[in-house]
Amino acid sequence: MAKKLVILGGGTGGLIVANLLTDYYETVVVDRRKETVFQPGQLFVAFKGESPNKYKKEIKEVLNPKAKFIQSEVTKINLDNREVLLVDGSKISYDYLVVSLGVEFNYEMIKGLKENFEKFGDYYSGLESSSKFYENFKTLRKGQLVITVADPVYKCVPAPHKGAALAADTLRKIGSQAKVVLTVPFPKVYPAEKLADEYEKALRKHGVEIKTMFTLDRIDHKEKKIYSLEGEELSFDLLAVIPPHKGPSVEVEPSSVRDSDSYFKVDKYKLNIIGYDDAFAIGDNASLPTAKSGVGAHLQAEVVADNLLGYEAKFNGRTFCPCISNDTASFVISDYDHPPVRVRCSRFKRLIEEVFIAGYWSFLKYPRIWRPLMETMFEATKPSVLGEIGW
Amino acid sequence: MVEDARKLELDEETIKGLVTLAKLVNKAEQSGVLEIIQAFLDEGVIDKLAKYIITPDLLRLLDRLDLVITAGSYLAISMEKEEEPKSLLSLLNTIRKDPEIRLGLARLIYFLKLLGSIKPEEQ
Amino acid sequence: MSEKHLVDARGMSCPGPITKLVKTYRIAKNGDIIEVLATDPGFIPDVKAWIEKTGNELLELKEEAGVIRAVIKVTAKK
Repeated sequence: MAKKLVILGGGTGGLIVANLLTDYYETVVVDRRKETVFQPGQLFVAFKGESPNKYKKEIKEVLNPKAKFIQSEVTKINLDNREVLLVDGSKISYDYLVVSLGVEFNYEMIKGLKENFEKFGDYYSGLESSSKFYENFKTLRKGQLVITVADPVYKCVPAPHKGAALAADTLRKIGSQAKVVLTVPFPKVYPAEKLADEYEKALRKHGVEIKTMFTLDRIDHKEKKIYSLEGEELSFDLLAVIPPHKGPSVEVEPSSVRDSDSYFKVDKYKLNIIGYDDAFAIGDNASLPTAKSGVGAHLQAEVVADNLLGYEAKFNGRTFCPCISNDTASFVISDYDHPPVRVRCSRFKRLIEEVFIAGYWSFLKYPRIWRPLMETMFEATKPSVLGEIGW
Repeated sequence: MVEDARKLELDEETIKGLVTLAKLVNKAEQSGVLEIIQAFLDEGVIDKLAKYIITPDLLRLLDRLDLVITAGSYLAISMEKEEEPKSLLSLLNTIRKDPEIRLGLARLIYFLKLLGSIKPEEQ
Repeated sequence: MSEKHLVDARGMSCPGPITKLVKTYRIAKNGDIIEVLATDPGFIPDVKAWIEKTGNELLELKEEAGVIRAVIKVTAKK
């Protein structure tokens, strides 16, 4: 009889594991929402006013029909009893568990952030929040849009830069006099040596003002100013905050498998939750020494699926994060053994990203079919092969 | 998708489309093209082709195709130049004074270095 | 009571180890010691720039067997 695989979370990681393993395991996917979201689309909704409908689909539409989908919140995970408790009190037992619940946001960590979120929205908290942000953004005729990274650990490291570039372009297009200021808590605008100068140049070309080593401490809505831990202040007319992140708020027993930010402690290669060989955590809710990214979730899903099919597979920390503007793109390419390599911004890469965006739902639904092609692409662009010349 | 097919209304437009499709498939089968396509899909030929074609150097070339095309057009335009340099001295002077020529020379030298780094037996 | 914070950022390269330092700095108090271990060579210029900007004290910055060790005394928090 097939073993039972329970997957918590119907995002990129969860759905790819499900679609790779449904033919071999009795598969159940649990998510509290009916829909799954292509999160990079939030940028386009927030800064270009695109329709959110392009970037979400019902989980049932992309999940292998042989897998079971339960729309419910998960309240507790008991790793020793191998069972998961749902909000209605029902229990699901498992032979194997994959936890891919993503991140949650800690608005309370920064004074004034909850108020800012309720007032303006942001482009991290979902499609609705991004739409709300756009409604505020499109009316900005003068003054400053400040995009600020509250905490240095957040998903999609280039997202603030992408937001700034797209925002500047849109403001120019609609004839607004408003300026865009991007603040980051890093010493250089991007926290990778070989990319920082390229990205700084690109952002300046868009007219974006950059403030480095600015770690958000608090927001004063009366004064319309933000203050940093480093002792600086900055005025804003509209504020987009990349909020502090934390792991999912589900109760886990034993609680020792989670770190102080509620991320799951996993083996960085095998992705199993430390101390368990039948439970895995992938995607943003795993604590890994590499960037939190969609590509990461995808590759990690493949590693877990391979291991559950009896193949020896290891995750190598690979990243391929797109850093885009309207016309050009670059990719942040790194892995556990190599810091990001030099990758210039170009139109060709923007084309590649466009193809990727168009193909996303297909990659989710048919991961096995796309895998050889994607592997070839990743092999051809791996950091050890690109080397000093880069791309 | 099976559910969509059941909902499919067999109106005139749909029937016309299906007939056209059937004719196309028949033609592909008779000419042997269909079998080739099937073989490609079955044997993973596309994946093998991709492995051969998608290489770092092709990606680098494609990334800078516009620059390569511009360089190519300049090469072509240069083919039409018919004036010789006046003397060795004036040639050296031009190199010394003209920043674009100096940059061009530096690029040529870098190109030579990269050319020299190719090891054919590894390709 | 001053605390010692150990930040192990070995094997991290993107985002770099500086991110873990900044995260720890948020919860640190004046008088605390933060020790960072890193393998990313980009960390050396990053931590120097960070010290210069924030005004905290760099007690030690050494590299041994591929591991960079930075010991920082928190003095500049407001």
